[in-house]
Amino acid sequence: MLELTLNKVNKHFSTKKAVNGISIRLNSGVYGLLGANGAGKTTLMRMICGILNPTSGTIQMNGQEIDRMGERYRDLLGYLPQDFGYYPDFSAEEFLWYVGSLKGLTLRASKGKARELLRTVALEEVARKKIRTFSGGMKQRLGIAQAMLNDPRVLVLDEPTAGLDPKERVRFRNLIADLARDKIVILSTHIVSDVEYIADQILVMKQGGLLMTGTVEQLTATIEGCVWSCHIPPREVEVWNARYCVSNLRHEGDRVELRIVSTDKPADQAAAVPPTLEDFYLYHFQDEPAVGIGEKK
Amino acid sequence: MDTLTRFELRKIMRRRSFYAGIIILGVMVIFATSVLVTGADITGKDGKELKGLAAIPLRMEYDRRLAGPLTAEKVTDAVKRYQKVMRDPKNLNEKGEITNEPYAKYIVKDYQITGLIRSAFSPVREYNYFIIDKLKPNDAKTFYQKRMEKVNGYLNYDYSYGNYSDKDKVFFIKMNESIPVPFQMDYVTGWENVFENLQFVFLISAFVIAICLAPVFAGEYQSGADSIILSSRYGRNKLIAAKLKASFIVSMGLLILSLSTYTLLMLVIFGFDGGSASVQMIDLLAPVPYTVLQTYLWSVFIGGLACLLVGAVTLWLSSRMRSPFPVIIAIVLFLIGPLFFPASKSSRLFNHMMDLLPGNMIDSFEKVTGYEVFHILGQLIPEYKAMAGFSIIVIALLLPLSYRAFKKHQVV
Repeated sequence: MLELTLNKVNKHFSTKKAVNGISIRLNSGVYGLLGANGAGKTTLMRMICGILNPTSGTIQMNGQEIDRMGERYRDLLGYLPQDFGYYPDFSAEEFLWYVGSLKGLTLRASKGKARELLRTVALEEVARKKIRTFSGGMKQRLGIAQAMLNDPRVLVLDEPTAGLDPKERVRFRNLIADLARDKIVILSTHIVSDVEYIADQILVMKQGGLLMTGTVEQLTATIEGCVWSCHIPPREVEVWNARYCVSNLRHEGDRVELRIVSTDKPADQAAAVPPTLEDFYLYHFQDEPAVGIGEKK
Repeated sequence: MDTLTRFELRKIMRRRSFYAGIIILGVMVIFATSVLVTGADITGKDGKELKGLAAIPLRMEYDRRLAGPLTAEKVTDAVKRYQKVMRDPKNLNEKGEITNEPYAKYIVKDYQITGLIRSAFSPVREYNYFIIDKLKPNDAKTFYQKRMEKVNGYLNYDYSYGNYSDKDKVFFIKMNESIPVPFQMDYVTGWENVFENLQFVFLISAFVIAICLAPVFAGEYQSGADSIILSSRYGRNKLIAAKLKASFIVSMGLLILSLSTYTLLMLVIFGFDGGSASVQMIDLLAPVPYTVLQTYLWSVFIGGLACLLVGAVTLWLSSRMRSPFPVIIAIVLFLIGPLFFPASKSSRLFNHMMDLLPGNMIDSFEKVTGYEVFHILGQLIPEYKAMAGFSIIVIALLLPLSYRAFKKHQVV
């Protein structure tokens, strides 16, 4: 049984509090990190991976501080950083052999595992091609493969679906679902629907702190009665857009259907509808940079 | 070799900077050789000027004639031969200068030995070309004595940046007394030319080493690969050791490549002779009891250590800077800067300190054959040996610092 515990973890950069007093206990399962740009997700992930020291607080794995565990902790870890570097003159398989060696696999084991993972991420046919020739999506799939090389018990994925097309995203989601057994998987993504599908638990971060944690149902339940649907004439769309947080807009003949996130009922004819995670996000982050829904930072 | 070191080697050697470095080395080695080849000249037997490759065999032929011990008899004979030619009116023009034909026939042949005689008999810090005209055959017997007098004069000279202490003087006198006499003569132009541009070859090698090693750590920070490396099992221990090992292998490889290419090219063109001659055939006052080959090996050792020191500084800067480019800029300033820094007119100690910088250390032939001594813990150590010790100590200190800097690096 794995247990990753964060105890009052802080990270300050001069005057900025990037991560502010986060305490949480993570067991096996998939955790989705949700938050706006600058919420502290990447900083938190880096601290969990031991590549950034907290200003204060501790991170423990099964009761032992990860810093003290050193190599033993890193042996349990798989990490896909955001925008990480590749060696452009390496082929995909060479890159995986190299990372395999870094992770303590013998060259023989690395080769076997690399072959298997390249197949899994559909890069088998370009295994011997130089990484410099790869598209963004192919690089991202290679990044996912390297994170899994050592069959990690703790898998940290920062924006793993960035650059993937919808088919690849589905494949990735299934892969994670398959892998997640007996593992702690922590992932952040800019695509809310990915978190919705993959994560067992969602950790919502705002301004460095943990705003809320829970399942999709638990989170959306907190804004029950705050999402509305109403029909308006097309000429009024601009006014409504300016006045309310509109999460969706759909033309239906001579009317426009608006989906509005608001604590107050926006109009008499407005009807309350069941909230989604996207509505939840908008509810909490409507004043933050709009990267949490569908756009990359 | 372990797998990680092999991968690190592959990473360094596949970069464009590595290929660029090899090309720079190749071009510069050819340049350093060709400058000396085109600069070679001698008056041919027919009195016509021979230049470049054509000049080499004749110089070789003349100098080989006198190969062997530089005895008093040999010096006497050379003085006699010279004076006989110069005192024969048939050989002189109206102004009393030697004409072309006797010059080509007699004087050029003895160019090496008469040069040594002029050097030994000239006053301190001077080279009097005409001193040989005033010598008597008997003076030649005092050749080694005169040389020692000149050494004494050099040590007792009044230098603006500090004079030699009595201890220093005794030290260098003893060193000079340890040189086996008679000196061994031979044709040494090949080796002399090797020494001529050795500093330049070291300078280029050090620069190329810096270019190749600058991205070792900083390249990982710049590309973002540091996140993966530092979060992996061996990323904070074995990998760093592998990077240092690979860097050493690459540095040694580049040094061996540049030095062997340069030396072989030069010796193939100018001839391999002279390795066992006394180094005093190249620098008469050199205080070291070495043959030319031994001096070459010492020079290569000192210059090589200076290049490795540059490599170690590069790695240290690379571990602390976020991109390879500023590392290269800093190293270029560190390497070339001291070459433009004039020697102090008032402090020998300052000059000694400056000499410990790689930019000065790479002038290794001058350092091995020079008259500088360090006082360390009551011991007198010749500068070139102090340089070797200093380089080894600094390299040994910098490598753990680089190791630690990468290990403790924070991905922000």
